[in-house]
Amino acid sequence: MGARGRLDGMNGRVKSAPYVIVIGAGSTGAAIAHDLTQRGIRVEVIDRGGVASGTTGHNQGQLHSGARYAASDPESARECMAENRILRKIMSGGLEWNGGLFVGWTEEHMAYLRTFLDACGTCGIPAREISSTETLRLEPRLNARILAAVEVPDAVFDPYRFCLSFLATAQQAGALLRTFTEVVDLDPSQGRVTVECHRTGKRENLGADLVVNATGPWTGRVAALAGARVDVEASAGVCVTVGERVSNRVLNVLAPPADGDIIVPLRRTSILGTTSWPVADPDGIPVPDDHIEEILDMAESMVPGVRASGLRGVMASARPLLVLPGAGGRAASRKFSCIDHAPEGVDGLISIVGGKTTTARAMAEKAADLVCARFGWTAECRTQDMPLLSPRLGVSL
Amino acid sequence: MPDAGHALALAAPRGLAVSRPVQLHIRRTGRWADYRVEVREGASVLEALEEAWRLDHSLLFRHSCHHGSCGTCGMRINGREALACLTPVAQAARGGRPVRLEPLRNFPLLGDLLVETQQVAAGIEAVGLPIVRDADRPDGHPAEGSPPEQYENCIECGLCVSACPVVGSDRQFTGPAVLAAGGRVAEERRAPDGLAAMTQVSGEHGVWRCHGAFECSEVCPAEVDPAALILGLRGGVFRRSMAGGRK
Repeated sequence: MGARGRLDGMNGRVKSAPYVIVIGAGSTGAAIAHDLTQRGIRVEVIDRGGVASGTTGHNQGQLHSGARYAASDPESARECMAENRILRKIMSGGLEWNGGLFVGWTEEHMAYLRTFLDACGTCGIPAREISSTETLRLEPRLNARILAAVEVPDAVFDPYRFCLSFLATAQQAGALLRTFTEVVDLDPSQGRVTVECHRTGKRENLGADLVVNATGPWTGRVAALAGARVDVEASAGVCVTVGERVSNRVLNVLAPPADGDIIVPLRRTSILGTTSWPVADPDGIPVPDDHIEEILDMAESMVPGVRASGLRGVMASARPLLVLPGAGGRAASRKFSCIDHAPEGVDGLISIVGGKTTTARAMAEKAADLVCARFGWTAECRTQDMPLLSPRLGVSL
Repeated sequence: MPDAGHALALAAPRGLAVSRPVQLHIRRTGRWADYRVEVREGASVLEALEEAWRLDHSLLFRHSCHHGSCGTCGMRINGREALACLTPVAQAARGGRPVRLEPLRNFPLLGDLLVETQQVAAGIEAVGLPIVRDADRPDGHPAEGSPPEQYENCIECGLCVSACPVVGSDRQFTGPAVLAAGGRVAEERRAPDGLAAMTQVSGEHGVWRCHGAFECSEVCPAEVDPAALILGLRGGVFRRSMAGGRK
C-alpha cells in the first residue's frame, strides 16, 4: 500500500511510513496509538467526544490481577496478571498498588475458597489466604463476620489518566489527536474517512492507509459505515460512587463473578458495582433505580455502613463483549479479537473487539502486529518495557 | 432571558418510572441555546447535558468519570463554578428554573462549554506534585506496614482558576491550582524537592499575588482548600527568606 495520508506536521516521522487513523480515544485506541507510533507508523486518533468519554471513562477502575476470572476464564486471567505486571513497570506513579482482597462470609463463599485458590495457582496469580483478624486489621470497615480472605495483586487506576498516559507518550512521538470529530462515512478501501468536526461544523475527507476501529461497544456501528460486520454485545453495567473511601484495597466477594460484588477505592471515594444486562444502543443507557439499590445492598453486606457514605455519582456504560457461541453477559468471555475485514471484501479496516482496560496494552500489541503485517512493516513491539509519560503531559483537546 | 438562536427540542423519555423535565440554557459559541430534556429523578446536570447531546452532537463539553475524579466536566452552573457530574439537576433547577450553563473563565475557549485546561496539569507537573503517593489511611485505620497509596486529592479541574479574581486581572499569576500543588509538595516532609517547589512559586506572580479572596476554596470540589495551602506556602517562603537572609 502507498502512503495516502497527509505528510505535514508529523514531527520527523519517516514520510514513507504508513498513515493509520485510529477511531476511538478510549483505553484501546490510546494504547494502539502508542504502540503504532513506537513502531514508526504515523497515527491520528479520532473521537466523536473527548478522551475517555465512553466506556473507558465510565469504568469502575479495578486493575485486575485476573483472580476474578481465574476459575471461569483462565486465559483472560493469565493475560490480566501478565499485563498487571507490565503496567507496574511502565505506569508507575499513575496507579494505586494497594492490592485486592477476596472476602467470604457465608458457607457458600467458603465452599468456593479452595476452587478459587487452586484456580489462582493454576493461572500464576499470587494469592495469599490471610486470617480474619489480619484482614480486619488491614480493612477495619469490612463485615466483622468474614470467615475467609485472600489477598491478590489487584490495583486501582484512574481511567481518564490511564488513557492520557498512553496518549501523551504517543503525542510526544508524533501522533495526532482530534477530539470532537465524528466519523460519518468510511470507505477504507479508498483510504477515505469522512468526518464531521463538531468544533467547526465542517465535513472533511481524511486520507489513511489503514483504519483501526477501536470504538468498544460502538465497533459494530462504525464497521457498518464501511459495510463491514462485527458481532459485539453491548453489555450495560451500572456503578454507584459513594463519597467516602471505605477501604484501601479493592474488595471482591469470594464467589464467581456476580452483580454488585466489587468495591473499588479511588481518591476519597468508593466505586461500587456493577450490574450486567444487554442493551441495543450503547448511547444513553438508562440507570434503573433498582440497580442502584441492588448494588448498595450488596456493598452494604461487604462493608456495613457504606450506604451512609452518601451517593456521589451514578454511571452506566456498555462493555464491549466479544460474541462467542453460547455465552453472553457474565458468562461471556472478556477475551478480545482483532478482525481484518479484508476477507469480507472491506479492505483497509481492522476492528478490535472485546477485552478490558487492564489488557489494553496487550490488545494494542495484537492490533499493531496485524497492522504491521498488513503493510509488511517490520518493527517489534516495544511497549512492554517503555515507561509511559505523565498523563499531565497529554493534550486531550 | 437571552433568546437568540434557540434550539428547543424534546428528548424521548427513557421509559423510566420517574422522570424530570429540565431546561438547559447553554452559552454556546456566540449565542445562547435552550434544550428541554427529561432525566431520571436524582440525575446530575451532566446527565441532562448528555441527553441534550443526544439531540445535538455539535454541543461541546467534556466528561469522563461521572463521579468527580477526572475533573473534565467543570463549568459555570447558574453563575458558579462546579462539576456538572456532582451537581444534582434538582438543585440546579430549583423551582423549575432553566439551568444556566457557561464555560469556565480564564482558560482559552474552544467552543461552547469546552475550554483548554491543560495549563493546569502542565503547571502542576512542573511543580512536581506526585499523582499518587503514600497517603494517610482513612480515618480510624491503624497505620502499620507499608502505607497505602492514594491519588492526590486535586483533580486538576480548573474550577479554582476560573473562580479566582486575580487570575482574571493578571494573566501572569501562577493561579490557585498550581500554587496549591506547590503547597502540597512543600508540606510533604518526605519530599526532597519541597524547597525547589517553593522557589518556583515565590516570585512576584506567585504566592504574594494572591489577594486572599478564598473563591478557590469555595468552589473546590475535592477539598483541596487551595487558599489555606497558599497561605501556608507564604509562611514557609517567608520563614525561609528570614532564615537565609534572602529577599
